[in-house]
Amino acid sequence: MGERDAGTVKMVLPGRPEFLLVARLATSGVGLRADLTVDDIEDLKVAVAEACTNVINHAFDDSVKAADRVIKLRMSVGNGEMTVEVEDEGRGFDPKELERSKRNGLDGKGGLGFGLMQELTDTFRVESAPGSGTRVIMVKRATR
Amino acid sequence: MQEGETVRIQTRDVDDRTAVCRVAGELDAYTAPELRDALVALVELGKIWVVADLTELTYLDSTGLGILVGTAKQCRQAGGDLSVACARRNLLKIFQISGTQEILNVVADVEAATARLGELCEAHSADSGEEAT
Repeated sequence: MGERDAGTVKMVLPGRPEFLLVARLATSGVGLRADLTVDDIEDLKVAVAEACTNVINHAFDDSVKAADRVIKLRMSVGNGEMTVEVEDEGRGFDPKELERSKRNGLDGKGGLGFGLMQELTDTFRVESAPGSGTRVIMVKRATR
Repeated sequence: MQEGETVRIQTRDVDDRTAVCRVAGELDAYTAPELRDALVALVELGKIWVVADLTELTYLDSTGLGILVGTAKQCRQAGGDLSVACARRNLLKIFQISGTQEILNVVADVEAATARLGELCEAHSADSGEEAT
C-alpha cells in the first residue's frame, strides 16, 4: 500500500471512512515535498478528503463487495505544484450533473464537496461516465 | 487526545435550554457521526440554544458542516439557534466558501457565541411577545 518512484506516490485505500485520515496524512507528507505552504496543504487535505468521501458515499452500488470498494490515489510533485488523482471503479456519472449537484450544495449528493474541491485547488477536473468509474484530478500550486 | 483518537466531544449545560458542545481534533466522515449523535441528544433534551465550540478543532469538511447546518435547522424549528465558535483560519475558509458563516452564526470564541445566542433569544422573545430568559 505505498509504491513510490520518481516523485510519485500511489496508494490503494479501502473505501471506508476510517481511512480518510490516511489520505489526509499522505497529502500532508507529499505536500511538504512539493514545497506547499501549511495553508496550501490544509486546502488540499480537504479537497482530497472530499473526493475520497464522495467515493465512499456515492461510487458503489450495494451489490459491490466491501473488498472491491477501493480508492486509488496518485500524488505527484514537480514545478512547484502537487497533482492528486482520486479514482474509483464505481458506477460513475454524467459530468453534466456536476453543476446541478453543486447548486444543490448541502442538500445535494456530494455537491458541496465538489464545490470545496473546486475552490480549494488551482485546477479541478472530473472524468466520469455512467458505468465507467470516476477520476478527479486536482492541482495545487505552492503559494510561497 | 488519546492515541488513535481523532475527535473528542464534550458537552456541558449552561442552563435549562442552553448547552456548549466542545469538539476537539478532526471532524470527517468517520468521526462526524459521533458529533451528530451528541447534538441530536442535546436538542432532544431541550437544549435548543447550542454553542458549537470548535476552537480546538483542527479539521473540518462538508460532512461536519452538514451536521452543523442540520442541527442549526433543528434548533430553529424548536425556537432556538446554534452559534459556532471558531477562529482557526483554515476552518473559517470552509465556512466562507460554503456560505455558511451567517446561518451558523460563526464568531471567534465561546463568549461571543454565547452572547450571540443571547441576542437571538431576545429577538426571538420580542418577536413572539414573550419575556426573554
